[in-house]
Amino acid sequence: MRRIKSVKDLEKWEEDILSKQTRHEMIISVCGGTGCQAYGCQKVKGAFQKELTQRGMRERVTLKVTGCPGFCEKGPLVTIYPQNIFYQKVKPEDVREIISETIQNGRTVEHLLYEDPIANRRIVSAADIPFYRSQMRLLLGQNDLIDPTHIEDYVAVVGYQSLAEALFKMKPTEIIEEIKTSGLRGRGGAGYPTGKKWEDCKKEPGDIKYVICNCDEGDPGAFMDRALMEGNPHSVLEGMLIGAYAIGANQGFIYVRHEYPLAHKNAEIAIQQARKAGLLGENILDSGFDFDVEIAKGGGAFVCGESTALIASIEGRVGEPRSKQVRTVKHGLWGKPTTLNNVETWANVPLIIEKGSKWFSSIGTEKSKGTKIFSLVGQVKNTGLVEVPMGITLKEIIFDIGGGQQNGRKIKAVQTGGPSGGCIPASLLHLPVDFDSLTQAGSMMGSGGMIVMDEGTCMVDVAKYFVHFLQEESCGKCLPCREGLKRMGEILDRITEGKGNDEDLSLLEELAEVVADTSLCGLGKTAPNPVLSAVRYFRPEFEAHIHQKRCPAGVCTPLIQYSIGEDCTGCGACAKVCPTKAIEGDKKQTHHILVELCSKCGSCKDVCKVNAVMVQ
Amino acid sequence: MERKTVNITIDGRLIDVEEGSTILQAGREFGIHIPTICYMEHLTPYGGCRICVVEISNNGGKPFIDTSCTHQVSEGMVIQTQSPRVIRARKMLAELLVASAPNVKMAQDIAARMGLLKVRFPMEDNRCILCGLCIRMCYEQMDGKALGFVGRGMGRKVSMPFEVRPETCRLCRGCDYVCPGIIVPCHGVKEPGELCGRCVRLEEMPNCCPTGTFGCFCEQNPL
Amino acid sequence: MDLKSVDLIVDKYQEKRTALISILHDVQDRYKYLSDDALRMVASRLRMDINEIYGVATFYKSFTLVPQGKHSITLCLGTACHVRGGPKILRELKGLLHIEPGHTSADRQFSLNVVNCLGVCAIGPVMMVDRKFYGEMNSIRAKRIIEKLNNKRSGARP
Repeated sequence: MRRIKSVKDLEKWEEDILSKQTRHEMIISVCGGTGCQAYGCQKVKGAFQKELTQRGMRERVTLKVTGCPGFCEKGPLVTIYPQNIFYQKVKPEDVREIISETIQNGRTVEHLLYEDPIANRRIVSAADIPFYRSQMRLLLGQNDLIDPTHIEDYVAVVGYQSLAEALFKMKPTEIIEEIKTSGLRGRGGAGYPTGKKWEDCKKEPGDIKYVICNCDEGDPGAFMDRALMEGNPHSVLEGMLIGAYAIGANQGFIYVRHEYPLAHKNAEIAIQQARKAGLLGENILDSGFDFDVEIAKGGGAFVCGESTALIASIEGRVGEPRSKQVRTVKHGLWGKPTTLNNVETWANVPLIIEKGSKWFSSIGTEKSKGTKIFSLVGQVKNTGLVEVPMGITLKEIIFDIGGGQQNGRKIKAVQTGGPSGGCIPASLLHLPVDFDSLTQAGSMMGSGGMIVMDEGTCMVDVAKYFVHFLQEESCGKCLPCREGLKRMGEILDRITEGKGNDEDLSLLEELAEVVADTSLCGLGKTAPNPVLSAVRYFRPEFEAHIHQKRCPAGVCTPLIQYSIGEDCTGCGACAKVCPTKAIEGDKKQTHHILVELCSKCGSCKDVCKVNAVMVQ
Repeated sequence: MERKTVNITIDGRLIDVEEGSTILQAGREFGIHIPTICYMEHLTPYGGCRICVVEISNNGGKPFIDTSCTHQVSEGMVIQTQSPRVIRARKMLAELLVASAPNVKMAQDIAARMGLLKVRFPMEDNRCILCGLCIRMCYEQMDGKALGFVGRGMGRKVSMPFEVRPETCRLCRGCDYVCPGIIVPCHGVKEPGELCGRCVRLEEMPNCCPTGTFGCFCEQNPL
Repeated sequence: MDLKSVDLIVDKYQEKRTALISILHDVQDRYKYLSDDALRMVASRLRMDINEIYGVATFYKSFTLVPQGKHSITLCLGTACHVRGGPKILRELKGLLHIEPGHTSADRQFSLNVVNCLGVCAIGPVMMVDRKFYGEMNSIRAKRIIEKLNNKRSGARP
């Protein structure tokens, strides 16, 4: 690894890397993200290594393990360059075929290509797949070209050139002005104008200032930051370098949550390589600017995604938030002026410096500029990470990109914004997604989690789920959050057990108002949102639970009954797995369930091949 | 020496208060009563019970709610200590507190003052209201460093480290002194000449006291 | 208990207070839990009150003050995994292992934990067994995995 001592060195490095790359015939990119790891991509990589070595092809073909391209459900994912062939659900047994057919003979392996269910044809390139077609992958697009453990890959795609531009061709105030004009707003959920935050921090007196990257991503159902940090950590580092230079900080921290070990590992490797290359440390690129970064690990607390709690955690204390009257840009980490931004926010910075604020502000809507990465998950056909310009409608994301409903069940609602957001019913899917439009509907865009729910989801159960989640994660300092959420949970528990009464909904709403008003931090203040939005749009479902003791979606266990319908073939598979021996029936005859013994575990429904088990 | 002051409006009255004071301090100086639980003069304000909330508006901006014990005054601030929004909040907070700790006299007092007549939640019997006064007393005034919060969320409680009384605890009983939970509601005089009945608490330890560690005080020096 | 490793771990992180959580994780990995003595030693090396370290050790969910079992089973109950049937899998695991989440089985073989989102939502429901991720779980698959681990232990043939 060479040490870069000037901008000229950097440019020469890029040239050298690119010239080395063209010498190789082909590149095989195997996705190494956590999702594909769970599907066994390491074995696939091992199979490629073995085959390529055996056939003596290692010199001509580059094998790379790259960042997450976001289509996790179809993993393991393999892309072949330069033809741009996209293979999905690749197994180690398929590797031999790929090498002989595609690498050696230039033919595609049909059964590994993505199949478009509507057009009924196989698609070769990722860009043509409906999932990817409507996306604008400015941030995630390079993930499948970059091996995050090789800084050269990042340099090859113009990496660190924005830093050079910022250090030598722009003054700190000009950088801040550029970020302000671009209209970039924080991607962590609150949407605070980034340029203004930097400006306020810069104004503060003092020599010691800090920049922090918030990679605590606690919203369940969201994994955008994971993909960015695992797949392209250098983009975040570059962003932090530029920001630190602009506001006058020389030390940064990246706070990675405990549950993201691969993100932690790749960020650590990136930092070490950047240090070796002289891009972190003293006198970077001979500019006189010093900056270094340390990784701080989370301990397993959602509340540490809140900025004051995060700072307390870095300081080695419990993650208890404090009053926001004292702003962190004035008194943050160890009382010094601190700029804390989300991973995606930092990753946008090098792009803005490279292509200009005018280009950036041409994307998106009037008040929400640029693209946003969403994690589209739940009961929708295509799940994964979706990067789109702001202002696109929910409908386009869920249907055009997501492929719409799954298993023939109608889509009922989409939950956005995590535990601070709310449920948006199917009737409002025409709403555009940006910082402000969803707030009026009772939800918010938040950090990007988008969970699709169909008719099989009970909205009372969803409300109960979020309240219990927040109860677990509350730090417990203030009375309304600690006790209020407890009581809200009790009411929802009773409703889902069929013990609700007439006053429950109004009591829930009264509690929610006070918890939102008086809680100390964002966790408590936004805690009522999922419940209130569920009641607002799905009141009939709540009333069915309370007055008729019925769960229309068939989810709340105490209110449902399992039975076997006429489609039953009498195969007996259900009786075999029933833990309470509650299923009777002769071979080839319709079986039936003894309601008194049924524990409602649902195993019978899971194994029934003809879908004969019904739930009411 | 000149005191720097700022002008604020509190409940319609324009007053000037020392810069750097909190809304609660300003209110108290001018005879405006705001209920508190976890606040005690000479201890760092905590802002945990939220009962001292008031409605605040800066420079005509949208009014918001914050605790008066922690919020510092600034020029032109407009404060309402009895607005309908504040009263609704305090009443519900009182209801939550009483439902959690009905045998703590402080909780009953606050509830009575809020005019609460009915508690709509199933009652529990916690003796510790997690106000943190004992912890702050121990750390800030008595330098004992023997108490702290343990766990989080609904499972949070006050405890000594590793549930064992550390050597730094000098049995000063400062924690005892400030705890709102220690004062047992009065059962009335039992016999002529008997005092307030504090001796009754020998059997009724607040549940912030793990395995009766505080019990050592009572054994050493019963009233 | 030999606490020399604790000293080495604190040395590795240069006694930095910002590395407290990393230090505690390493200590926990080494000893399978955070003992009182280990915590006291870390506190003394980092010049922290034992009060503070006890507060930190009990605040964060990833720390355990009781010894963990041989196999750690972590079930994700994030929203995406929840709507895809996470709670059913939890019921199954509770029934198979006879323990509540956050506890270890009597024979010290299994520890059951639930976590709120492992960040692999697209392939939910997700279960992590000894640092290995399993996607698209259901109660039957969960049962098979536990049985496999059990059989491995007793050497019994299925």
